[in-house]
Amino acid sequence: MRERRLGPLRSTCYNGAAMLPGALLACCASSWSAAPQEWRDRRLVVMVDERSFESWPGLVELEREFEARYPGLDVRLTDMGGAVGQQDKPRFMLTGDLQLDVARIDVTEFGAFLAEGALVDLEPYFARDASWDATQYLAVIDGMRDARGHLYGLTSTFSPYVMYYNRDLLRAHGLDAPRPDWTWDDLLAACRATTVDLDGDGRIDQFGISLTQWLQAVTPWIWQNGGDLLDERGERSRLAEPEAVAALTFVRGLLHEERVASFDASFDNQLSQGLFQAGRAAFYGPVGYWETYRFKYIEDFEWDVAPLPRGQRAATSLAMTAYVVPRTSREPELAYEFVRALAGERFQRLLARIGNGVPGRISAARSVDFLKPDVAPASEHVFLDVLPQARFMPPLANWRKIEDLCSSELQSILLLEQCDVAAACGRMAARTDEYLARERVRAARPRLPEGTLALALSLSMLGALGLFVARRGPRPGRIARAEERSAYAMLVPWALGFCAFFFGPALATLVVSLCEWSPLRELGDARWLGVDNYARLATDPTFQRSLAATASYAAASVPLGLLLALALALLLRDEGALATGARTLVYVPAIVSPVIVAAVWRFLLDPDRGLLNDALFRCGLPTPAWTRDPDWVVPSFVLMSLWSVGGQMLVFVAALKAADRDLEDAARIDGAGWWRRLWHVTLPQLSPVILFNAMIGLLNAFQIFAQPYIVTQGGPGDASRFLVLYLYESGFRHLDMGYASAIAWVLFALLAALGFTLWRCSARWVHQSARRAA
Amino acid sequence: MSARVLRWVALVVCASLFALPLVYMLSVSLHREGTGLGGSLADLAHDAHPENYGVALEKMGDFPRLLANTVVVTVLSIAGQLLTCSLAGYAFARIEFRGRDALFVAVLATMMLPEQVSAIPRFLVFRSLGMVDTFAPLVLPAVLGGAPFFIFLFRQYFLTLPAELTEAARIDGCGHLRIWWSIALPLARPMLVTVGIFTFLAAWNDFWSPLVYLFSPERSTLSLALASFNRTYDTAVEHMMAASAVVLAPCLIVYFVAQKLFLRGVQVAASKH
Amino acid sequence: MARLEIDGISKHFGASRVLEPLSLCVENGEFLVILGPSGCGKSTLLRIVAGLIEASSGELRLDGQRIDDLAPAERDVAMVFQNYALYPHMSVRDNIGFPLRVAGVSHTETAARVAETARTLGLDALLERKPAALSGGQMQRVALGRALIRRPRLFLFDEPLSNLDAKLRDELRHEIGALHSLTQTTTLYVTHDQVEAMTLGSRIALLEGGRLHQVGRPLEVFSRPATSFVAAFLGSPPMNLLRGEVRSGAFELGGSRITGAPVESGEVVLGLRPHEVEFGSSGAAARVEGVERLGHQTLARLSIGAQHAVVCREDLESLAPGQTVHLCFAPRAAHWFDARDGRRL
Repeated sequence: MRERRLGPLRSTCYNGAAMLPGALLACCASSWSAAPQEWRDRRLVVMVDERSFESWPGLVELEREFEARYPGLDVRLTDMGGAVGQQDKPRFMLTGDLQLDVARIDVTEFGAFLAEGALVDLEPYFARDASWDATQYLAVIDGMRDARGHLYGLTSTFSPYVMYYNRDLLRAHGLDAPRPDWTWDDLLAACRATTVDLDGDGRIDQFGISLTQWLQAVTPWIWQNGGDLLDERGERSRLAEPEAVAALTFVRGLLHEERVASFDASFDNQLSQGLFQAGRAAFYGPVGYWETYRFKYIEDFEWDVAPLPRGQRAATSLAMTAYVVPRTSREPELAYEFVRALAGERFQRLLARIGNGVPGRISAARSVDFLKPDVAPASEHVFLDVLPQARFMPPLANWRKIEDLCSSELQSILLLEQCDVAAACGRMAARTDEYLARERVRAARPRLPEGTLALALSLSMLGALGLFVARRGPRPGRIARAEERSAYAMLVPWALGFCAFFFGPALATLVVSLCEWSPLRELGDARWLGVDNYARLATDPTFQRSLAATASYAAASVPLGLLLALALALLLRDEGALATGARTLVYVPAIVSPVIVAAVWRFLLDPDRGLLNDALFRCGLPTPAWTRDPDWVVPSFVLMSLWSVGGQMLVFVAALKAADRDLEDAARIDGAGWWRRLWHVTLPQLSPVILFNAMIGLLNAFQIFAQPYIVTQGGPGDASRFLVLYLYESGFRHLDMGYASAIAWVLFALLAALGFTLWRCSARWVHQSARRAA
Repeated sequence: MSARVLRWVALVVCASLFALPLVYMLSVSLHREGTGLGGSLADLAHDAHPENYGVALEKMGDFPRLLANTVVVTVLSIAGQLLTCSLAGYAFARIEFRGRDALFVAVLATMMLPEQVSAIPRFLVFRSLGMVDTFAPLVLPAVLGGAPFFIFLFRQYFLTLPAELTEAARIDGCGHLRIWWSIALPLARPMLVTVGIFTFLAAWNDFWSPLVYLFSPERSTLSLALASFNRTYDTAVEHMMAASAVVLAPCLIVYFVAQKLFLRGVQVAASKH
Repeated sequence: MARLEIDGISKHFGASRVLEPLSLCVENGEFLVILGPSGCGKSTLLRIVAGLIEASSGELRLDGQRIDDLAPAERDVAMVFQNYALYPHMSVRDNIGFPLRVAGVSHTETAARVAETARTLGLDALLERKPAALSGGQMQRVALGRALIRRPRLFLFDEPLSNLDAKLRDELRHEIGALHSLTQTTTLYVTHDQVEAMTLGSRIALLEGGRLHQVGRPLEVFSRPATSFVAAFLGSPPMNLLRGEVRSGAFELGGSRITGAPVESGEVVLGLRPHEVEFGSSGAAARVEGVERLGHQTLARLSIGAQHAVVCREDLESLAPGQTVHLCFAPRAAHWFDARDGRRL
């Protein structure tokens, strides 16, 4: 969901750059005075946006200006890798020590980047820059300061969380637009009045409010109620305190007691039209400015934004992205200049015009480019008005980890019919505390001595090689040795790849799994932990849920896949044109990229407008919420996997063709019925292939990643946080590579054990006599 | 008779169910922006928007460049994969040597290793080789036999060749390398095609490696460009589906062209274990 | 032209012994047939000579030069396989020319030699075909051509005729014989078919259970089998082997005492060829169990006590099952073997 929030903000960045006024350049005297030849063969790598964004042309314009100013300089604009990868790509560049001069990060990542020493302190550059004037920017810029007050980046765009409302819908129910100081009670009353079953079919189809449910969006309720996430020193969670519990109970009440709330489709699936957009919710929020980008196409009703309703006090949270100069910049001077340009007047105004964030530069935020008097919403000023009450999330080194630690409990509070809010809050608090405590002792841990990893790696490799040489039996004669040599020669390419890409990295992962290491740091900075990571696994409820989800997915998808593939193969085994054509159609989904599979199924399974629920509803069948229901999300992925069952089907068809039809005919003559023939003749002949398909199916099932990564990101709760996904998140989101490596090894051991067991058990039912001689 | 009709109906229903999501994808891709999801095929009769495809291509960036990059990566991967895996498969199937079983177990064990397990160390390897932001990290794993399953497939295939062919060739003066090249490979055409198609699909659809390793826009690939469509507010579903269809099309074409040999390879894989 | 010495060659795979240490010499230009039932180790021996398998012990010499360390290609031998082993993806021309191509012989010379070989074997018209389009006989002829074209020092045949039907087999057998007389290349020929062995071989080596039983010229082996195995393996119908005891110089069989046994006492086996037994008025008594009339001759199946024997003659028209007959034979028709190790006495 972070991507979702980034998405809107991301195009924020451009206006300043375009202006790059001479004055500014004059201050950067060193770069300005450089002779042209000095720029030859120099590059400035800028990664702040996606090519498909509307802001890209503005960026290109900046690029041209820069290149014209510094002849020979090559400004490279790079995609962030799509919303799916946009947090990961800068990290890979940092890890890879690749030149990256200007990047855009989310303010919630700032703490982590800062703690890992991943950013360049801009303060010295400001000091040399006479044109720099911090008062040109809104106070949100302070979100990018470290404890000393040094500034590390300039705001691209930001947004406080506000409430969207459907003015027409409220009016139709005799209600006014919310006043600026409206309260929770006002909200509740309005929601009650606007929740209706329009077509009388027993299902509510118009809700008072469509709620958002990620931590950043839920936090305002807690703040409004006088609670907080962490104590002032950032060492202890306050989520278990009564204020927080009461706030969450109120939000939960809207959903499950008052039943005046639902979730907007945008939560899971921002590409589809949400409830609010469809005119079926009076309120939508708390959510940021970026939604105006989607809602600008709404023609059917009038909508606007209001501050969030007050509880005991007014409060809201802030999202922001900022331009930074990463540690791996090779041209910090130029990078600084580019950042100034991006945060400058022209580019900020461009971002304001495009409209998916509030520009950080005051002049742009107050300009007509942002306020857009002729375009909805009418009250853009609300986003500026609420700033005094707005706060960032706590500036922790690893906010993302905390958010993930809480997210599953949070989702169960909001989603589940039955939930003890206080207990869930207690669990959130306990997990957060445990994590914070661990972070504090981290720094005290011993470093892994220099070269340990290399030493361990080379020793293990040598050991494996030695073991292989020692164990491979007596020395044969000359001819056999010549044969052996040619065999080894033919295996060289594979062996190289094996060592470089599998064995070596797997060993390295094993070593890392005994350490604490952030991929943003040098490998030499890893801290020795021993088996702590594995011990943590044993008590980590998320890991247990992840294991359970993966196991249930495998337990369902593997046998069902086998059955379906077998049934299809029996149905389609003929040579006729019809069967051949049908076979092709059944197989084709198996060649579709998982990314596309996930994209298409996301829409097919959409609870509100998806094709599947549409059909189910028409047949009078229940319509589950699929990927949004913790009980249905695993079945949803099973369904997706069944769609790609064509490969297994083909293997079965091939095996059926190879099978001895005489045996079947003999059984037919002996009077065996269809079922008996299948059970006693056909299946035994297929048994080696069944084993084969089961093995492959098992491997694939346990390694499912792309689909949940794109569709649910592990939710709701942890219901689809499959092992590889959790591994990935631990390593790349929480920057806890050691823990991720431990998961990897557990997964590997699990797979090896399962595979071995399956193979062992197979001796009972696999009829090797069924093998055909070549 | 009724059994045949029943079977026929079942067949048609199955095929249509499996085709449905792709038809849906095409249908959405042809709708007017904002109407794709709720829209039906019938709308397309009077209100089709093939220009979505043009828009999608344009949003993806320098399409010819993307296509060329993807083709280069794919072709190199296929060539490398076929050579390395068939070499290793031949050695495992046709040469007696000490430690063969142990090495083969190592090959199979790699299949159990999730890609993500080795991602970071692998990244460090490529970084230290100075290969980041080149095609090497995308191609080298394939060239160096990165897919153990294919080694397994080739081994199975070569096991089906009569031993006398190899013996005859050895007596005729061939070393194993020559036998592999002149005898085994030409006879393994179905398996070459099968593995070739699998590699093609893997390389063509690979999103993870380009994401991790490619940074320069001039080296970007189609799937990466497609990924940048995902979950972005600026992109209409209709354009995203159009882009998906564009990226998918070559896979379908390659599959249909090579289908016959591909199925023969699958046949071998299925009938010999 | 070469002389092959097989000196103490043995082979075992783990614990199972496939070949006992075995020595054999194939003279220059000789056609030596290795004859034995399936599983006797004859193909293993051939593959050891070819270099496809490595011997567990022993030496191989070709013209006095050690070859057991040489790779197959370096031994200058050619081999013809039972299943032809033609390269399916190459035309007949390419198949025959393949060894030359591998050896780096020029295109023109290869073409000339392929043409010459094809002419010798009558394959001219088939040169562009693929093996799949050939009959069994044609395929084996191509395989012959592929062996011939190299002009090797040693020819190896591994049951080359087993996959052919009877008529083709005869035809090709003659052809192989003719080729050998033409080229006079030293040849090692493995078969389980005694007709091939008898007609082709200048000498025959009999192999059973990994042991060499006898080496000799065909008629010699036939008339003086060195062991009871050889006696039973050669000849059709096979030699009758009758087990019994010699007491004071006489062998007791069917109630009569047969003299001439080379030992004074002990268990022996008496070998009698079906053709060399006559029915007389006295001698070992036997009961006729069955009569098979083949036209030009008649087979009588007999039981002598608990043992069985076959007699084959042209003059047995009147014989009927149930009759009792008496066997007589010339003393030189009797082959005596030690009952324990089967060796000729």
